[in-house]
Amino acid sequence: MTLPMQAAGKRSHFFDNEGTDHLLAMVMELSSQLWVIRERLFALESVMARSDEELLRKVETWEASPAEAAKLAEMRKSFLSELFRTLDIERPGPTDEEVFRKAG
Amino acid sequence: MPLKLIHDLKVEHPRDAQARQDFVTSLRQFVLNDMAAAMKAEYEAKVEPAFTRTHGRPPATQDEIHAAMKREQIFRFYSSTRYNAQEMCWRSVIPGVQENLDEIKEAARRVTATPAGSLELDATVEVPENVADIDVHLMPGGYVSDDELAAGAVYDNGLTVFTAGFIGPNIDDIGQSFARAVRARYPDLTPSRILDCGCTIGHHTVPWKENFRDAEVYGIDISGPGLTYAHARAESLGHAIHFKQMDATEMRFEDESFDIVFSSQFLHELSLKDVQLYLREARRVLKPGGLLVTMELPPNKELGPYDQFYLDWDAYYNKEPFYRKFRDQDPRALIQTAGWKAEEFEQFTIPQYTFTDEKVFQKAIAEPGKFDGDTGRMSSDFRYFCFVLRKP
Repeated sequence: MTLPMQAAGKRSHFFDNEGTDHLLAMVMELSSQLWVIRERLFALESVMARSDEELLRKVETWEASPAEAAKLAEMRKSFLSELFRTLDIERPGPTDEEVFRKAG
Repeated sequence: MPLKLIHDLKVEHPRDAQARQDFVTSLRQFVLNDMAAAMKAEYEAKVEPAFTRTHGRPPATQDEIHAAMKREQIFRFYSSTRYNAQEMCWRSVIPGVQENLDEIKEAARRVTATPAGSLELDATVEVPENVADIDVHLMPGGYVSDDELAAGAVYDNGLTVFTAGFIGPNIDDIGQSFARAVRARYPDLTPSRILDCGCTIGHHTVPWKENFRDAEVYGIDISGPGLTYAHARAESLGHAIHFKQMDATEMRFEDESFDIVFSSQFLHELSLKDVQLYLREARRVLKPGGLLVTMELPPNKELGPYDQFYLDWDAYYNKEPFYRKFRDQDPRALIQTAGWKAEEFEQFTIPQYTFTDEKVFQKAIAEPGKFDGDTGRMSSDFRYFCFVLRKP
């Protein structure tokens, strides 16, 4: 039996243009893929730092120490903050246009 | 690292799948904590004042807030991200379950070869449309599938990501918290038979056995694959629990046969008609002096309009057909339509046992408990709502 990967039915969309929802889904997917690579890299570096033979096997079976796990959690949070930085509530201040007019 | 299942049915997901699960776990924490806080700040700083300027009053209902927020970028990004995270949660575990399905089944056969508990499936149980035809919680394939236990495996593995650690490392804090709360609040009750209704994979059933070792503990659900998995899971963890495929609105138990009838996050999955039938059935199977303990989402009437709006997100975007209708009910009134009396009713909120100091927990569960923005909302430091009925 092949398990389905997607819930049945049309996906909800939240933006006026449905394409934006798709773009966001793509960004989410890219983000997760990027994270997978970053985590593998982190694992690779950790294994190399421990300098041992059978390097690939060690990468494949690498488990984070509590300290490394905490570091990864911190990196993920920082990564997510960067990703969503444009959604932060704006600090009060002049707009770009106001700055331009003032300068002019 | 993602939460690890601690029983024999666990799947060893490949390194990259684990990284995906890590990512989705953090994404959900980010959405439910950080983005949710930013959305509320945006509402208070901008949306509510704008609404008040236009209407001469602040929004009075969650529907007014929902309509206003739908136009806001923060809500759109929050919702779209949360929706994607929900999908990605399942997608991060399904390939591992698919790949290891034979091994999971073999492990299930092995641990149930000489069971301490039991499993009773009933092919005649009619699965309602809302369970059979809807992929509730966006879980692909839903809770009832042709495979003997795949749906249970997907759910268990998915919960390790979905719960993002919010209900403890073993995904059982609801059961742990309520078993302890019942013992402390009702010291005169020494249960010999306990029933968990709508138990799915039994992750909150097991804690009742752990906390009341001399009691016979039963779990019922409409989903056969969920129960098959629940049985193997409980056996692997060393607990004798009896799982029966049964409709909670039409139980095949004798009158007055249980001391405690428990459910968690179950009633909001039922139509109101079925909620009433269930409440009647629970009363029938309870012994005199027995307790009906219902952990649920808090009723809308106990929360302000913003928190109502926030908590009802699932009603609109998470394939939860009865969620909003249930939350709009007043449980005290609802139980009276099902043969219970107002004086048999009490409701309270409790903190999470796993994350609360023992003394603080014991003190908190003796109190009525507060209702606030953290009640019933899956995020750090949230509180559980419940109502309890004691049969005279």
